[in-house]
This record gives sequence, C-alpha cells and structure tokens, in this order.
Amino acid sequence: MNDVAIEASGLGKRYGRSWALRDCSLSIPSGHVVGLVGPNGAGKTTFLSMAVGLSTPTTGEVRLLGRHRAGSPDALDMVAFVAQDAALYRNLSVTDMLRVGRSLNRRWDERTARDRLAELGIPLDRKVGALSGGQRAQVALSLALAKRPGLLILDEPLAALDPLARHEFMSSLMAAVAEDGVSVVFSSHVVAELERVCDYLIVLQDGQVQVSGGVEDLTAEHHVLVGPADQADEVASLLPVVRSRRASAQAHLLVRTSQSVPVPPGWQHHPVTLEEIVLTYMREPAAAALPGPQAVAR
Amino acid sequence: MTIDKGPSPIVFRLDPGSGVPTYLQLVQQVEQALRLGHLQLGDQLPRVRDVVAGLAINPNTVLKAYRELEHRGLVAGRRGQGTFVERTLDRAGLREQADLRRSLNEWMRVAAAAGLDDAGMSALFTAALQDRHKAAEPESRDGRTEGIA
Amino acid sequence: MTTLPSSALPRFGPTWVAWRQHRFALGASALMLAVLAAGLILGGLAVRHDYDQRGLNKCTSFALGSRCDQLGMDFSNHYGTLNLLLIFLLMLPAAIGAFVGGPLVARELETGTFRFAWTQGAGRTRWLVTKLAVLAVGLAVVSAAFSPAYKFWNVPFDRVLPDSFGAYLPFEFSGLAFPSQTVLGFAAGVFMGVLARRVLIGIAGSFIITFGLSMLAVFVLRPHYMPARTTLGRIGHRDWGVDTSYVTPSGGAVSSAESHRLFVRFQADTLNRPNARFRDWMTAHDYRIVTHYQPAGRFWTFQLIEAGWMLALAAVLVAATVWMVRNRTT
Repeated sequence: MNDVAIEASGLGKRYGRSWALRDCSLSIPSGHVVGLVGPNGAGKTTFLSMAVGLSTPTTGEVRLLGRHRAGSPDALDMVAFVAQDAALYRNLSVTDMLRVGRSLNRRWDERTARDRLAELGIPLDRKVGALSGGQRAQVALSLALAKRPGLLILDEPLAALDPLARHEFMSSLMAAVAEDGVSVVFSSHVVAELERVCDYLIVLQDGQVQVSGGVEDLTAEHHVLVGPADQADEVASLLPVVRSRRASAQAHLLVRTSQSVPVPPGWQHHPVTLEEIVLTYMREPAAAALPGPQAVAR
Repeated sequence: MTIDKGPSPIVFRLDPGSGVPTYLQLVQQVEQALRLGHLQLGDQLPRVRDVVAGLAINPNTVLKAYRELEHRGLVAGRRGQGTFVERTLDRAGLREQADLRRSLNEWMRVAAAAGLDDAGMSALFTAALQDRHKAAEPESRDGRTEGIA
Repeated sequence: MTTLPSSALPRFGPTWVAWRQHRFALGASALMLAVLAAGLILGGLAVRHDYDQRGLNKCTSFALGSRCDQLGMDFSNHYGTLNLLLIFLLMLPAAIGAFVGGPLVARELETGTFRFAWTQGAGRTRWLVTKLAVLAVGLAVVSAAFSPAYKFWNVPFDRVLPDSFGAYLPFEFSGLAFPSQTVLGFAAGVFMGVLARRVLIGIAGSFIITFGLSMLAVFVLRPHYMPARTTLGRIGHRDWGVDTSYVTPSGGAVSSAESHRLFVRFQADTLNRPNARFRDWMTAHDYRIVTHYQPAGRFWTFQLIEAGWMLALAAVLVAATVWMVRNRTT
C-alpha cells in the first residue's frame, strides 16, 4: 500500500479572475478517514474535482496513491468518487446502474455490491429516481466500493440526507473501511460529527489550507487555558495563541503547542474537542495549523 | 427490538455528550461487562466491522480500544478470528458490594453535612479516582498536567 | 455474476452503456421514420391503385399532346400538393440531429451525471467516442432505410413525369444525401450541446446550423458540384438543367447584366400579355437559348461529393467535440 493517498503540490485553480484554490500543498496519508472541512466556497469541491480528474489545475499538480496523475487511467481505476447529490442516472434501475458500473470499469465486485444493497433493503429493480435520498446515497456508495478502490473520495455525501440516513451512510462507509481498508477522503461543511469518524483533518478557508493533521495530534496539541483576564497577555506571550476571548474578569486562550503545557497558578486547563478546534480556526482565518518539516516521514 | 447478529454477547453504545474519548468509552464498557459477568473467559468481543457499522465510528478507534484492553491484559487478538477475553476482572461478590454500598452512603452523609452538593461530591470522587489511576500508571503518556477544577 | 479480478474493460461495456442510455432517442427516431415510411408505402399502394384506375397503366409513352400525356398531367396535378408536403422532410435531418445529438452530452453536464460517468475506469474519451459511434451508425442506418419507402412511393409519379436527377426529393431520398445530412445534424447537435453546456441551446443552435447547411446544400451547392455542360438544344428527361443563358444573334454570349436589361424590355413589351414567356420573346428576337445542365450519369458522383463534404464536416465537428470534452474543464 502506498503511504500517501493524495499528494498536492502548489495546486491552484482560477475561474476567471478569482482563485478558488491557491497554493495548496498537501500530503494526505493513506489508511485514514480524512475529513475536508470549510465553509461553503472554501474550495473543497474544487480540490476534490481536481483530485478525481474532473477539472484541470491552473497551477501545480495532484497525484494519487503514490504516483498516479489525477484523471489518468490508473487513477480512474483505483480511485472511486461519489459526487454531491449522488450523481446517478435517475431513469435507470439499480440493476442497470450496477451494469453500467460493471461495463465501465476494469475491476468490479458485483456480488458484494448486491449483498450490501440487499442488506440495506434497497430494491434492485426500482428506478434510481424513485429511491429516497438516503437510498440513492447508499447506491452511489455501493457502486463506488464495487470498483474495489484504494481510495474513496466523497463530496459532501451527507449534505442532502436526514439524520437517520446520515447515520446509516456513515455506518456503511465505516464498515467498508473496516473490511477493505480503503482510504477515505470526504468533504463536509458540518463539523459536529467529524470526531467520531475522521482520524485526519484538513480545514480549507478561502481557497487555502488552514489546518492539516491527524485528529489525535490536533487534539493533543490544542489546549484551552482559562484564567484571570489581567494575566492573559502575560500567559499569551509564553505560548502560541490561536484565539483568545476575554471578558472583564476572565480570559479563554486556545493555544497550540506540542510540548507539555505548564498551567500557571490560578488557571485551568481544558482539553479541546475537534469541533472546537475547527470552529476556532474557521473564526481565525489568519491562523494555521500545518504539519512542520518534521512531520510525515516519506 | 433489533437483535445483533454478531458472535459477541455484548454490544456497545456511545455517549457523545460525556466528554470521554470514544475509545475509552468502549474500554470502560468492556470492563463493565466483565464485572457484571456479561463477558466471560473466552467470549469474543464484537467484531470491528460490526461495531463501526452500528456506531458509525472510525475503525481505528475500535482498534485502539482493543489494543488498550490488550495492554491491560484483559483480551487477546487471535489472527483471523477476532478478539477474545483472556482474563476476567476481580468481581466483588454480592456481599462485598452491599458492604461497599453502605460505607459509600456513610461517606455521602458526612460529605453532605460538610456542605458538598451532588456535583461537588462527584467532582471530589472523580479527582481522587484520576489521581489513583495516575499513581498506578507505569509511565506517563505525555507530560501534560491537569488543572484541578 | 461474481467478482471480476481481471484488469480489462468489458469489450462492449461502453457500447452497452451508450445503447442503454440512448435507446429511447434512437428508437423514437426509428419509429418516426418507420411511421413516415409506412405512410409512404400505404399511400403508395393507394396511388398505384388510382394510377391503374385512370388507365395510366396502359400507357406506353407520354408523347406531348397525346391522351396519355393529358392523363399524366391530371394525375400529377392531383397529387401535386401532397408531394409538396414532403418538402418538410428537408427539416428532418436537422430535427433528428438536434434532438438526438443536442442532449447527448449537454444533459449530463446539466444534471451533473458527468461526475459519475467521467470518473469510471473507462475514462471520458472512450465513453464519448463510443456514444458517438453507436448513435451515428444507428441514425445512418435508420435514415438510409427510409429510402426504399420513398422510391416505392415515387415510382408512378416518375413514370408520368420523370424527374431530373437533381430534383429535391429524388436526390435527397434515393441516395446518400438524407443519411449524410442526418449524421451531420447529429454531429452538429452534440457539438453545440457541449459548446453551450446547455441542452436547449444545443438543440436550437444545432437545428439552425444543420437546417442552414441543408438549405445551402440543396439550393446553392448541389447544382455546382461539377462544371455544368452547355447545349443549344434540348436536354434529356433525367438531365438536370441548372441554369439558362443566352447567345446573341451574332453568336456572342449575353452577360447577366445585359440579360437583365433585356428582361426589363420584355416586361415592358408584354404588359398586356401575362402568359408571355421570356424564352419565347428572346427566341422571337433571334436570341438563342443556352441550357446549362448536369448530365444524368452524374447522379452518384454528386451523391458522393455531397456525402463527402458533409461527412468531412461531421468529422471535424466530432473532433472538436472530443477535444472540448477532454480539455475544456468543467
């Protein structure tokens, strides 16, 4: 197995005069479930489109599972994509869609796909357009997994789904990761449930990568210190502060450091959830948490 | 009622609001099941695939929990078959549990008289438990110190 | 249906996909032409019955002034308007091409299904080229099959009043012209759809282009595929008169400007004779008529020339379409 699922170097995309994605350099490790988050318009879809070969970069390049150029025949074989709104031919039956997948791919596991769909109770002879949103998403996922991909990329797979459908979709996805060991990269603008599912996180803001790192590392590196407001500046000078919130008596400092944090007397230390980390960075566009030169051995 | 079809006698649940890391919740649930006798020697822990399908969590989290249990000497993985219980926890008998319950009631009476409310009692107990746990740890995981609430 | 661990694409995989997606479009075109063909055949049977009823089946020649000639004229005039209706067929290649070709790729771009199709292992080039091939061949076959039905219909009319080989209907439907135009219309439809990325613009735009090209072919280009021959005499029934010019009494050519001036004089002279013909007036003034014509034997040559440029243009449009799909990012 290759160590790097997606390698982007200097990747950029310009539409007209504005840059949807700028100077994006990432090394996304394989064997993880990677969450790509950011507000709408941050560049998530742009990045993923380039990764699956649907659009060509203006600058830089992106390679998948080692050395395969995005959009090359090898990449198309080894990478599966589930587009937003589960792009499927609405007037075809599920069986027909399976056949379309079988007809257009070199590797195809029809048996497992059918088993999955049967387990989910999705009727094979129904037209895709007549399925519920959750069922359509499951069909799209089954089609993607039937390719036996090494990497599965999903663009906002949960956006149009109700809570139950979301849970079922994520369950299916996690089960596939457990069984097949496929690497997963999915984008979302909902932050709340990422922590259960992702073990690697990328935050995009305004076309640039703001945060990139393993979830365990990120939660270990970020701390909230709560203490008296008049000491806040002093404490802030000792540690890299990502965001500070102050009231008249109290200050909350969210700091980032990989070393141990000495807690000044009179201050409290709180661990930080992933959700809090993401929201904080989204509120502080100038801050960044990127892997340093010592991270990610190649 | 949904009957879980897996080979394990237990099934996991998550408490997302508890603040306890997911993997630790799984560890605690296994230990609790051992204590209550739901899991016996030789029983199989739920398969990773079944856990993630039911809870929609990352498989690595389950693997981490099982590794932790293995580290504590409670379970062992058998290649290609699953993870199985190797050792049970010392279970306090019903008699001991009744005695412990009585001394706990006494302690709570004293604490209430000293002015502690429910949350205060709980916090005191939790802190003492954490200190006890830390004192028993062979090495520290990271150099982090915890602030005392 | 078990796992295929092979690393080869199913041989006719993309072909099946193209068929499954567009069988309705192909079927509808085939059905429409089949209905028209059935109409022509059934109508043709009725016409033949009428032909026999009028006694035309007993005529061996239609010499000018003979009774058979008169019967023939009545017969032709009776069905005159009906034959005129067939002119609407001029629009068919443009319509078929627009409605089959326009949505082919544009619909996928509009609905977003290209995000599925272009991320499968076969890749977008193979996907597109297969679609184009399947539909172009299908449309060519279906439109070519229309030809026998027309020929069946036309037999009695042709016997009574033989068409020149370049007359619109026979040229269009007895050879390669109709299928070539349909294929060209299809290529234009796909091209416009991809260019505009919108189904409606693809349909409308390509209809206009193809219809325009058809009109150009029929009225402007066809008569001149080869240099015309000239004669002072009459031309045969099947020869195709494409132009008329005049020669002065002394033998010199009359320029078109001069011819126009003469025409003005003719109009002034014949104000009170509405049935007067310019030809007769010119002959009366000792001018001689030169008929430019295409000899009958050139029918297939012309068919090949027309099919040639149309299919070449279709190929250019296809190449441009493939280029756009490969390179014009979405």
